[in-house]
Amino acid sequence: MNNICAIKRLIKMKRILIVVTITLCVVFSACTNTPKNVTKINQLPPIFPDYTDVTIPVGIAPLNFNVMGEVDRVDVIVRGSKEGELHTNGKWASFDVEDWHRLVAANRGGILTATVCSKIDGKWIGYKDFNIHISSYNLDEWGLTYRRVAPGYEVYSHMGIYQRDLSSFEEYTIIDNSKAYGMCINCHTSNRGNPDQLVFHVRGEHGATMIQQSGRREWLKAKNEALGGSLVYPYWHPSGKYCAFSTNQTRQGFHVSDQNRIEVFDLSSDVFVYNPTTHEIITDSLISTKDWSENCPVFSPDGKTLYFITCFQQSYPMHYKDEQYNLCRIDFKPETGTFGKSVDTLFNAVAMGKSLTWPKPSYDGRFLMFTLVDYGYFSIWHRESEQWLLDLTTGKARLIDEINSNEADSYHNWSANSRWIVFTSRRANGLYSQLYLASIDENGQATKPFLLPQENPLKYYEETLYSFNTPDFTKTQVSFETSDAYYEIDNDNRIETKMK
Amino acid sequence: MEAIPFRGMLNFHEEFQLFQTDAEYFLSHLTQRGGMAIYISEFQVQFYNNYWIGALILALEFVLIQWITLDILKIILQSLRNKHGVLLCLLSLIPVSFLWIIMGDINVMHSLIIAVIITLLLIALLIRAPKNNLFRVLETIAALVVFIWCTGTSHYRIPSMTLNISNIYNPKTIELLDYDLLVRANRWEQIIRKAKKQQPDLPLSVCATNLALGMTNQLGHRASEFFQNGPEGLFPSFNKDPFSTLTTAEVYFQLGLINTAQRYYFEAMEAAPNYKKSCRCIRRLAETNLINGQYNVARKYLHILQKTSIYKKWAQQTLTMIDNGDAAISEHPLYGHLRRMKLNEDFLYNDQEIDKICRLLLLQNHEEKSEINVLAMQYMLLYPLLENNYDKFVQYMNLVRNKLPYTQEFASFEQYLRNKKTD
Repeated sequence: MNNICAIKRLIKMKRILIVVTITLCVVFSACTNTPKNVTKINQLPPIFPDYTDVTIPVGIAPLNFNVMGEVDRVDVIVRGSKEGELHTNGKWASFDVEDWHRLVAANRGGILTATVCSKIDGKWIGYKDFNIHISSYNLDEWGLTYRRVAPGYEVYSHMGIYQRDLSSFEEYTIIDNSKAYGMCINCHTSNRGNPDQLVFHVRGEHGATMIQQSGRREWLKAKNEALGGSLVYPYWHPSGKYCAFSTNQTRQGFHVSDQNRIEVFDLSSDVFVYNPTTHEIITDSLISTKDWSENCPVFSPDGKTLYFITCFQQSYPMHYKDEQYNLCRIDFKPETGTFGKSVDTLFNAVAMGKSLTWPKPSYDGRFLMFTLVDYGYFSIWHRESEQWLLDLTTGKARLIDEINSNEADSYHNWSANSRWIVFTSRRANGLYSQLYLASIDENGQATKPFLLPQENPLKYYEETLYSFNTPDFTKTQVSFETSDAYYEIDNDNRIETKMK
Repeated sequence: MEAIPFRGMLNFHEEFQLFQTDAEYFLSHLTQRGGMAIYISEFQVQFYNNYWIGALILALEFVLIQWITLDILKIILQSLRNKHGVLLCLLSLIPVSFLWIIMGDINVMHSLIIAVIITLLLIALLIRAPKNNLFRVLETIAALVVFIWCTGTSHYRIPSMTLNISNIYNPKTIELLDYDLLVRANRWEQIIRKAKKQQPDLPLSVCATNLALGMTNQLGHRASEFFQNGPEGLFPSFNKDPFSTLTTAEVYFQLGLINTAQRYYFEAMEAAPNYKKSCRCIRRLAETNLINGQYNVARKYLHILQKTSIYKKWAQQTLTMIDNGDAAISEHPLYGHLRRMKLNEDFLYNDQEIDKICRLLLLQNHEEKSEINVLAMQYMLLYPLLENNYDKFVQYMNLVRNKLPYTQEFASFEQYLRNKKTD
């Protein structure tokens, strides 16, 4: 009996020994992952995304990053210019969300300095420190909304509209086509980032335009025969009483050898204003002309002006390169829902040999940001696409060098306080659009944009086969009854729109 | 009949998935209902890249299903066990035979096989459980959870659709899938032999045969040996289905119309009704971007393929080639050749003028690069003949005669024309 007990004790001791040995091994191996004998080199760390010298708002999710190349380990210390520091050590720089928020908030208006070391082939390399600037401008929005879709041609697979909490890495589906095969959802637009008023289109067999106001959904018939087409690019009137739309006879062409793959052009297009209360379409001969294509309507922040782009209609597809748009404006009286008597050209892009698209006024009424391309208006497929800023007080426009790249920089939107923008860019690989945010001060000076943070950015962006497009800020999380919406899409109960 | 009669079906399942070996891919499946069956099936389907291995895996699985069924039957029907063993054996063949029949519809995913195996294993486990009531209840609940987690999903490729009897082992579909496999593998001689055995009569099989003839420089003198369905036999219309688009994509790829090939490969992948990505398409997309000099996108695709077990080595080699610089790609026998074949002039693609595009491919390359696009030449000459536009053919023929020395090859086209006129 005693012998048995002794054997049992021996086995127990052996087990303890094994546990202690394993623990020591783990501790020892962990020790080797802290930088030792660091060789300093006089260059910035090769990080993805490029967060060097970017400006971020308080409340943004941690700017996790990867060090490019065959890296065994990354060690990062981030020190605030005012107070605090953060340390992370791992396969990539991944910061604790709460600690990150505390550090960023404590250093508002200051700088975070990142000291990066990476372990390559067992040796530690220390890079030049880089800075992250913390803006004193608030970004009060809860998050972003965007569409995610493969950058394809005519066929699309999984796609949908999503929302992303800007303070974390959480993404939520607003609606996608996983339960409605073949459905295309596009052009989601809220009123100045307020999701209480939301519009988007459903294309396909059960096509419709969805308008949700204070939780109540209406599904409009996709086409209006009198109008001769569908409701396309929307923009809410600041009062919420109207929504401007374009109607477009859109076609696509495909380049046989150019670096730009796709060309999108309109055989014709007009703009008009829709009254959601009466379901009436308000149009005017000045914005619905026979020989000119009007497009991309947007209201001024005071609601008294309708901006849009216009070009002389060409014969397509032969002369698609001659399709060049200017920026125009017309007065709008919200009280009566009527238009002014004349159209003014606000920016003559055609005179520059260029074409203007996606005008978006800042909500403080000071600026209007637009995209300039060589021709056409569908800038996402134009590598030369660049962002411009028009000062509405002086009428002068300038190329925003601070945010542009060699690839397509396109579709943008403003935060409610007009101090932040979100836009799409294909700078990472020339095809898959990603979302960038940048700050713009009272003088129109922009900061270096930063890529929307992800938990493991290299893995996320490298593996995704989808583009992010039509991004906008959202004040609060969008509330949308998806399962009811699928049912409503399927049942085809649609409200007819009528011409006023 | 080929040694593996349904090899095209195996290839089809493999080319329309992108199984990745990393932990995240596994975890992403675990979180969805039926994800385990999908994950295991995708793991096995990646090996269908070699249809011999694919056939072996399936054979083993079907045998396993029969064994488990027999085991269950022996427990349930204990009274028959000793006297009627043969009968039990025959009964055990029913489920597996039924499954084999169902798998004849190419849209039934192979996750169904895994789901059946898991279900049978659970049944075998449950019926062995002790007769203690509480234990049985607990075990049943656990089995239900495992059942839903492992198998509880639709195993049909097209959402909201179900099995279609007419699709089961449809000879036309099987034939087309076989052509698809051969086109993918660029086995031109095999395609011609196959077409010789049985005349191709569908747009895709005619297209594959013509491509094979063109790639072996026989289109002129042998096109008349095979059924022709007009210009569609050279360039089938784009009908937004994943399957036929792939063969058409290959035609454009081999012609050197890289942008158009890229478009078709992209469309083929996006047209997959279950929203899965395609390893075959991603590989070709990497290659088209490589040829176009769009290395950052090519890298993106190659990094994705690096996470597969079948294409990993190729992806690594190709990434190394990109790192070695532009010259390495220009010197590559296929990519360099196709890069030289590319059109310098850009315009918007028009499928009504594809013969003119072939003309440009031929003349541009002949004049500017001292290299003849033989495939484009053959397609250009055959196109008007298939349209019954003899004037245009003569015009193209004269153009070729004045520019190129291959008179003997063209004589066969003229013979073809004479034959057609006689007909």
